[in-house]
Amino acid sequence: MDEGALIQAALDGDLDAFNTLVLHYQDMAYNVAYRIMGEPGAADDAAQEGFISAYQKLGQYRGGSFKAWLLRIVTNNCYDELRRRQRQPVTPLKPELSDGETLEDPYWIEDESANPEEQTEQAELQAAIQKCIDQLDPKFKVVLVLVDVEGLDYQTAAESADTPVGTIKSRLARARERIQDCLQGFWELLPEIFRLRDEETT
Amino acid sequence: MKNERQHTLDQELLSAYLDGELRQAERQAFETRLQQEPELQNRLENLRRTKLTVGYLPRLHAPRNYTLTPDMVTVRRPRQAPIFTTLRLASALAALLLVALIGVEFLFTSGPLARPQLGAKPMMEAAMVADDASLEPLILWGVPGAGGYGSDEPVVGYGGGGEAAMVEEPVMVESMPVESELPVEEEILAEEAPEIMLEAEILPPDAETAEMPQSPSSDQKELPILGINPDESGEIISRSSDSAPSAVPQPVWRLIVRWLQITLGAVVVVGGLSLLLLHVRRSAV
Repeated sequence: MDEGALIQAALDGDLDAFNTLVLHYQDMAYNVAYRIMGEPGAADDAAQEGFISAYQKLGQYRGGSFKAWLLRIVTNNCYDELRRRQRQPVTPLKPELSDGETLEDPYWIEDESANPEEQTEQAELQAAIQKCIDQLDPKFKVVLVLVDVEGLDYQTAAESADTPVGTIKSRLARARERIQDCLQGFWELLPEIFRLRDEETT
Repeated sequence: MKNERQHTLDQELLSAYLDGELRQAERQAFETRLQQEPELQNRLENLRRTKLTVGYLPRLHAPRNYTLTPDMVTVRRPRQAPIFTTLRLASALAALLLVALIGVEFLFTSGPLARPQLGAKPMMEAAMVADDASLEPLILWGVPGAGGYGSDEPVVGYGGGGEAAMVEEPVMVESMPVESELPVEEEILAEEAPEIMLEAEILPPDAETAEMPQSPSSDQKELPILGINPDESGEIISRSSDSAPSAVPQPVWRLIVRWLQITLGAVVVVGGLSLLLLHVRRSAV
């Protein structure tokens, strides 16, 4: 895929060329949006709006990593939605159990190689991790998702978050520290290799 | 406080070290510390496990395709030619200026900033001139014996042709028994008022103060009166009735404004038509 040629064609009005880029990046966009938003509906909206915005703002793209530029648009959409929710809190549609825990997202119970018991454990662990991410401040959340979930290096993450590399470095350290504290509450769910040393000694 | 700050700095170093984002010198220095500080090693291991745990989250696939359709976005057109933008800007600017000029002209002609009606002007200006004590007294040298005792000729005025000016300078005619003739003179002035007013439009202030109705025998030799030496008197004004203009000239600024309006209007019309033509041609393509 010649990304540069596709971008140029899209700039000249070729929608099919842009859709080739969409197909290439849509999983990444949805995954990042899901980890930031914490629910599929909002992630779906953020990803779709991100591609529409990217097409409309393509004239503002000034070279560099198209992936980082696209992720910046998607994460900005997520930021905007999170801010809107902070102003107008909404009740999640997920059914809640009596103890306040939400039912696992059926989407996570898809590993066909695992038996039902393992699938349940995996789903619980993933739900616990996602819950810890959800509790982070949005600016820490975005950096953690970009680096630890999406696997971006600091430079690309900085471009995606429109933030200096030094800020990425400090935010990531604090985000990891908070996630670590949060995960201690789900110690019994963690496989042995994930358990912290402090927990092993106690 | 210091321990907390050191803890934060160490946490950043651990995190960056784990990601391989430390520079060579930083990394070597940090590895030396790690060998000497077991607690730091413990923290690094926990951080590694935390990162591993977060990375345990599966990569999700998009539940559907996000490909765009023409309905979802306005199809991007090729960039506009520079002439299109220039024409649009020029036409808009010209239209704005035209409206502004029309508004200004209205304000100074018919609006609140318009000058007073012409009929009221001579009396007002005459009063203002009469109040100005710095003006040099003027005497009309015309009719023999005018203003003197025993003259059969009416005193036809003094100063700027206004009633106030005549009253303001009684010294020059203090013993003249002609007061009873003033009403006659006022009638004459009233009849000539329009003409005087027109002259006030075009004459400088000094000339206005010298304006006065002409004696019927003004073509006669001008002689001194009341024993005043002509050399010490004011300027002698000789006025002929044919010096009045026959029509009110347009002020220069109005002519300039008019031409500007015409030019701007032309720019608006030509620019608009050109834009329309370009738009039709682009739509045809």
